[in-house]
Amino acid sequence: MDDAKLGVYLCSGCDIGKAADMEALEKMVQSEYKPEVVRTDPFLCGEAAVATIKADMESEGLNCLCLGACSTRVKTEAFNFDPSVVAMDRVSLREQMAWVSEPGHEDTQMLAEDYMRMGIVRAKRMNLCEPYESETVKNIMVVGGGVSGMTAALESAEAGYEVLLVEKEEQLGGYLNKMTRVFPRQAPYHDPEEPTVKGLADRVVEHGRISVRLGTVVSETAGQPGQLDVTLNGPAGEDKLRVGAVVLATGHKPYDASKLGHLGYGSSKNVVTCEELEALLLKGELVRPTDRGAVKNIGFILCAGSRDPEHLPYCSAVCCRTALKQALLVRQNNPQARVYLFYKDIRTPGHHEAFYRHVQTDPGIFLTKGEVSRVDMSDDGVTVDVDGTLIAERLQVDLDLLVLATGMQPATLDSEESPLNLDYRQGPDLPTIEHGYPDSKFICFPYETQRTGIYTSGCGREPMDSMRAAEDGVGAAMKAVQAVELTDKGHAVHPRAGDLSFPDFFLQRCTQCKRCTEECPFGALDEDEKGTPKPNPNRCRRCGICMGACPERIVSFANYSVPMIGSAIKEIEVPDEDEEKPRIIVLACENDAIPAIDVAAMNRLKLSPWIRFQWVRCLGSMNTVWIADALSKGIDGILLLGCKFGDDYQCHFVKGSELANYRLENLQETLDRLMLESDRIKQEQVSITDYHRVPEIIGDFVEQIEDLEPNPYKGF
Amino acid sequence: MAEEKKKEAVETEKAAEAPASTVVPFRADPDLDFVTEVSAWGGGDLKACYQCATCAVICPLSPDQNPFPRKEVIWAQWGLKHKLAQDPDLWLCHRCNDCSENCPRGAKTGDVMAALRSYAYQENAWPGFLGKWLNTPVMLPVILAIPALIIYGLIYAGGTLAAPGALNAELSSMYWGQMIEPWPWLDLGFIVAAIFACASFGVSINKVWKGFNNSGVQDDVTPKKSIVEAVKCAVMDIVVHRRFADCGAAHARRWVHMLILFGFVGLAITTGLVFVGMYVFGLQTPLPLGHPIKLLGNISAVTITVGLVIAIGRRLTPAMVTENGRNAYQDVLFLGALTVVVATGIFSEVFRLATAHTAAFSAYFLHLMFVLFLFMYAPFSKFAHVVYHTTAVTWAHYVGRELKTLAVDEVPEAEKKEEEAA
Repeated sequence: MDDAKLGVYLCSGCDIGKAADMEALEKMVQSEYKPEVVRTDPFLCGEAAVATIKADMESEGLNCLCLGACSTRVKTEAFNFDPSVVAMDRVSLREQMAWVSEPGHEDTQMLAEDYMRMGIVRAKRMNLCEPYESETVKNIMVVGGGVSGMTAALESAEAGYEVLLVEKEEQLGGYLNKMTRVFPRQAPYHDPEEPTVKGLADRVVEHGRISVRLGTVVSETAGQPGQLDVTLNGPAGEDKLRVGAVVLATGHKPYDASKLGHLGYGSSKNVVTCEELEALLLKGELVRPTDRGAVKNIGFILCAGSRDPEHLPYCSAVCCRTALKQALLVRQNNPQARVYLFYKDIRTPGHHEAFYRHVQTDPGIFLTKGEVSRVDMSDDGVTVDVDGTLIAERLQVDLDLLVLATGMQPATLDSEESPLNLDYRQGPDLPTIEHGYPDSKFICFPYETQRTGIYTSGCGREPMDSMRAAEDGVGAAMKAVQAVELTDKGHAVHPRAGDLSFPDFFLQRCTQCKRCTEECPFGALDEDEKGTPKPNPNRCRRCGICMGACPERIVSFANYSVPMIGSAIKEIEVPDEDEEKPRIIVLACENDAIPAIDVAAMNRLKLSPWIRFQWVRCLGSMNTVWIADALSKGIDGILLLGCKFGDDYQCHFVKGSELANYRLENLQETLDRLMLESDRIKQEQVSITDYHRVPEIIGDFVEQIEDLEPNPYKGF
Repeated sequence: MAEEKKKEAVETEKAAEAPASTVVPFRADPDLDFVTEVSAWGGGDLKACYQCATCAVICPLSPDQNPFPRKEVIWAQWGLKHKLAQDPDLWLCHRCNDCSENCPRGAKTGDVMAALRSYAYQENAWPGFLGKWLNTPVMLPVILAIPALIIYGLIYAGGTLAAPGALNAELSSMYWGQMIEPWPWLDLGFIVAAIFACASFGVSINKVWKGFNNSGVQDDVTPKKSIVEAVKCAVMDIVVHRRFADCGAAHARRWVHMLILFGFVGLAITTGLVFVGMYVFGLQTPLPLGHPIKLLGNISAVTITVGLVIAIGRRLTPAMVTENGRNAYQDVLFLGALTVVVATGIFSEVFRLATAHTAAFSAYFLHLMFVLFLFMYAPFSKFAHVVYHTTAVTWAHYVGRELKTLAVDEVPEAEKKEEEAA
């Protein structure tokens, strides 16, 4: 900020005053930065102190604050200043100095001073945030009229939003239309129930805020949340509409049983899947398909093609219950029938354990764990060999009908039709993580996809039963509502919900290298023909990966930029070589590493006084110039502390920590040029639960640096 | 040369493959009604089992190879009656109910095992119809009527049915003889009943012994010691209740069972001595109270009474139902008959000493009837556990079906040794 009017406030509460000499600290701030106001308060988050800050802002015209108190993760209500009025940086003196260092020590004082220097420089380098405002619409499009999509539509409509429900088929109901019974939904969870999907469909059709488009597909989706222009193709031809957000509830498809030849599928009509049996039950004619003879002995192979590296490696969560349900229905149909279930494990989550128990009590249902080793066809049935049972090493049963309980796959997988046909630079489909499910990171953000404003629900998101698919619809609807509301205000959505900043591209200096448009995990950037990025701020999650990617450093946020962090790093006082006080920077991801450090501090775990933490929005936003700057200033080592990457990644922004790792490899050149050891830079992976490992990780790195000669660039 | 080698290789390969293909499949053809039957015998929770094996692991008696009772429960769930009839492990179980106490599903495994034994009494019985009768509550009047009619008939057929009122009470030395004239007839009846029971048991033992060998629960059924040695081991086990000692939940039952068993044995010896004394040495009954045989009889009667009172008390305590197991029909029938025998025996003696003739006679009539009941139905009632259990333990010693006998703290020692050896 050019005309920064700075106020610096120090808190001496929560052990900060015991750890550092606050008077000296205030004096240092006063003499080095000459702020309009500098104050120390023993209770800065208290009403009186906050009122003083506000009064100072009023009387002194402060537009820039640096608060030396506690972590940014706490007291957010107390220090809730509007970023479009005042630029604020909070220095975590409590968690990064007072609670982790030796009180009253010279090194602790130096630590406090450096943190204040860094914070003041960051605050002064910040600009006021002006939210990205655009003309948005708040209606929600739901794609898929099954139980999940219909629930999402109803919930959104009930919350007051106009809803467009698009269904490919000629009727609503989806998969449940094919079911004769569903799992029990209430205590005592004993008997399968009639599906209530027709009633749900009626409510949807009758709702005043829902417009249903049957026999319709989405042939294009362009734009950004709040301004998504969708092209619909239906019986009445093509038309274009604008929607604010999308819930994708396209459901599942059963695993292709023709790949299960080893279980007899395809060799005889007497081998069917659960879906096919359900159809027989729905028609009310449970007969042997080959000769329409009576079905007296019927067997189910559970996990048919599931939890199997050759087929679906995962559990589809419902096949066990489907088989149990069908076993019960078969028995009700014919009390003389004998039903066999061959399973790997029975999985009946939640209250459906009671259902499992109930089905078990039926004397005509025979369950055994075992591995089906052979399926033989005979004229009048099927013979199944099951190995490793408790009954016999190899159990053999003659059946009239063999049922394969196959798993689920997302309907969108390998589908010729894309459900949304996104007009995005990174392709028409939602990126998938594992097994073809479009997901962002389900542990932290259910319903999120890697395309902002588009949320998945139901079996298209992960395998689940119809009860959960309905609940899922509610969740996804709530996410869509959040998205249209936040976008309307120019706020970021999850995980930086409420952030007013957005990336600003200084395009005159762009070299069209396309790194940003390729690396953006959320496909926020489109391109013109030359390759110049065309930002879509409403698609952006504000992680700053583009900022880290840009070799020209043309991407910045109002309150987060390459020069801002660079200057903060350069502001660290580097003692002379003979003082034997090394300086190490830890670039810490604010999503995983900073919380872990905070928890370590709460547990009063001690950390080396040589380290200086600098938060980053994501390790992916780290620009390598910071490292070059730090090393050339005499900083002895740099540690990148972020989340786990790889297949089981934990990154809030999908691949930030992975990109950082990749960029580190390219840094080797910089180090060689500076004639420095590669050991000076390291990346470590932590999660918040790893807080106890923080001292060890940092301690090890400090030792590693202490073993090296001091950085020869000290004093330059 | 090369070809020969190839041939050899192929043959070895074939040989290696051979064992896999020689697995003879077991063709399951489950009986749909068996679960209902087992429920009627007190094993109603068997379908709750989901084969987690907690029972087989917690059981202090279960062997490592094909441990029980998990496999028995799934066999029962599957209605595989044939496998159960010849299963030796049914008889190695002492129903301590550690399994029932620890079952996460409340399958009451101990009760299921007891119910399966009810099935096995019936299935292995000879003649079979008696096995069914003893297992069916509606047949109770019939099975009670038979010994009653036999006793009545013997007395009637053997001479005058002496009316108690016509007795000369002062001829106390001839008391029972006068009251019931046809002594030898009655004794002959008991001898016939005993022979019948022994013959029936003989058939059954032969059947189950073969069954045990074919059951497959023990891979190697070649003798590991002589049969005499095996019997000796089994008897020693039973005398000190060695296996019972390992049981957890119903630990107290070891002592109760000992009281009942030793009391019963004492009474049996008393009866035998009196029989021999009467017929060989012309011993006059009733014996005076100070007579050593009388003393043995009375002490045994007190012992078994104490045992029975505790056993019944425990079985009637609702809080102990898991520990003791459900009171199934066979349990009630056996414990009831035994109690009636003991009670009527004691009452006969007490009423006789009190010169309450009608009461004494009635008690004695019932006593005779229930002694016959116990004897003639021994192979078909829970009484048969004496024989089946002994046979199974003997078989276990004979073929080396080692049972878990290591105390918990001994295990690490063994592991240590193994580690050292490694």
